[in-house]
Amino acid sequence: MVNTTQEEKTNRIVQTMAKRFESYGYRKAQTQAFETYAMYGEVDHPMDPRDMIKLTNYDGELLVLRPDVTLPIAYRYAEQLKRQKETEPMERKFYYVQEVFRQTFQPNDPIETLQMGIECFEPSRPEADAEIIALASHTLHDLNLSHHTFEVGFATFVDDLLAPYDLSTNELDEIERLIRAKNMAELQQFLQPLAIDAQAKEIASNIPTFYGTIEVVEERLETYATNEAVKETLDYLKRVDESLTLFGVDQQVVYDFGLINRMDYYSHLIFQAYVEGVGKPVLMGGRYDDLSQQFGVATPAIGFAFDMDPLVSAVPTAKEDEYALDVAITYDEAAREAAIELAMNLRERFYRTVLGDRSDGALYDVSMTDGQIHVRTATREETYDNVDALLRSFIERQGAN
Amino acid sequence: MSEKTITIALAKGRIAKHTLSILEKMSIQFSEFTSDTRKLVIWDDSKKYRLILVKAVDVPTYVETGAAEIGIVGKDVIMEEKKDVYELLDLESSRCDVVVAGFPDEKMDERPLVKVATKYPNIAKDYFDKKGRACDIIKLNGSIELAPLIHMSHVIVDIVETGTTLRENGLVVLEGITSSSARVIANKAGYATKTEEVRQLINYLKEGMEAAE
Repeated sequence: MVNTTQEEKTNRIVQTMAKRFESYGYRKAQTQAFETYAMYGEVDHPMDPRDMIKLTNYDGELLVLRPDVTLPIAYRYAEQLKRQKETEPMERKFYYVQEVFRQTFQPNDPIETLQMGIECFEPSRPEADAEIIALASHTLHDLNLSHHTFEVGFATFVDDLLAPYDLSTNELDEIERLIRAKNMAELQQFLQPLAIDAQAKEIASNIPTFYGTIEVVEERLETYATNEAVKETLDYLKRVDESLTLFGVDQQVVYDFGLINRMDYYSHLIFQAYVEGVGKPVLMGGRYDDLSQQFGVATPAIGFAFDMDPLVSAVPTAKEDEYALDVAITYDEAAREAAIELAMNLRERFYRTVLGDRSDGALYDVSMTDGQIHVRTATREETYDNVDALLRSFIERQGAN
Repeated sequence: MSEKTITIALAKGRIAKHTLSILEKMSIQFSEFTSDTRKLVIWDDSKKYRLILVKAVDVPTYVETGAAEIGIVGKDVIMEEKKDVYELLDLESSRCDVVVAGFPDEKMDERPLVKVATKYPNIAKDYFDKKGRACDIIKLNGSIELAPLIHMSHVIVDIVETGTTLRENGLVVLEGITSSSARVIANKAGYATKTEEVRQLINYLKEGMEAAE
């Protein structure tokens, strides 16, 4: 069966989010269903090529069914930038709501998931980065998910910290894995025999404790602030935090230096959002300043994407999601003309209205029999003398909303 | 708003008992719990912590999906299940070793393909891949020692505590893979949304552990 309740709920949420994105100056972008496999081969990204759904076109060229949205938008933006004359203004803020397709070994994992996100092609500035997080937080508030937490980190922190030392990729992978798992005991054991100086070891082994408000993180990092990479990252995040306060979202943010991502295209600030009752992040995002370079143009950018399935499940179901209809009108022979007139008047005002025998599943159940008009909702019952009075109450209600 | 509750998924058996004794040292009482209880959900007396008693292999799943914020289970299970969770504390109890075992004269490196019977297919595969040995994994759910005896496999990958079962079946430890003990794992979302509560519990466990020594 088609689950219309779920679809209506998703629709309502998408509309709410789109309105919010637009209020920050974003415009809707659409990418095509098929992309060339070659484009995904050109750049570094965290997607496993085996997960992509592939097919060939007429010329034998390999295509993939859209496995993500960020790469195609960044690619098109780079292409457009190459053609564009410098003086012409160009749109730089986009949002999208699209399905992405990836298959996994797990037979029960869905292939198709809905993503809704933004891409903003503007250079790194603390206010600009804070505004992106503010937009995401604002959106969650709109969806009545006021209890949410953003974890903010810095993609290259560990790399910057350990760059001076000659560590192998395997060693860095293992260090990153242990930091991501906040596994301090094993991290310490692993770092102990490595040929890096004692201070870097000390910082690296304590990264899992750099978690909390900017003040907490700063205090813990203070002892190590002689390192340039540490200092710069901390300074930048402090300025982001100041801006977040101006946007009014500082209460929802924690800083996590263990939030690192070397495999990804993220280059600086990264963040993810959690809401209560959902075990994984509903949103992931970050700055990807170097991605477009791989498409032949240098243009910094930042973006995020909501994973819509867990997000929709976290949003409380609203009254309008449960009712497929607004008004159902039943009537007897004598009320026929008045019933049709009422229905047409309500439809003119976009109330979802049906005429006839159906008396359930509607927000307002209107019965026009024996010369009387009864209106029943889940909570109350009202009687009207004539159609005009009823219509007026609907118009007033609409005006109030 | 009332104080947030924390759900803890515990591996049934030894780990569950040990964890409760640690928490009791920190005056967190579970009067409902008795060793022969059939209850699967147990609240502590202050109604702040909710224990769910589950099969060890399921603990990482409960935690990854967020059904429980905290889980306590052996490192062997965590390595095998490969879930995306935090690993916050080593409780240093329920110690055992994960090993490759077989007959004393077994020469794995001379075989073109080593047949490995195990309850831990991921751990075994990762280990043999790292060693550069080709292997064929046979997944079993119990009595692993039987496999080499009836020539179903050349070796086994299993956990060993005292080695008695191996000895009684004429098998020896050929190589050690890793050592295991009870670990505290956490859901990432739970850590973000209930940071204080999770940290407080970790501190209780740490202090309780030290008091038990």
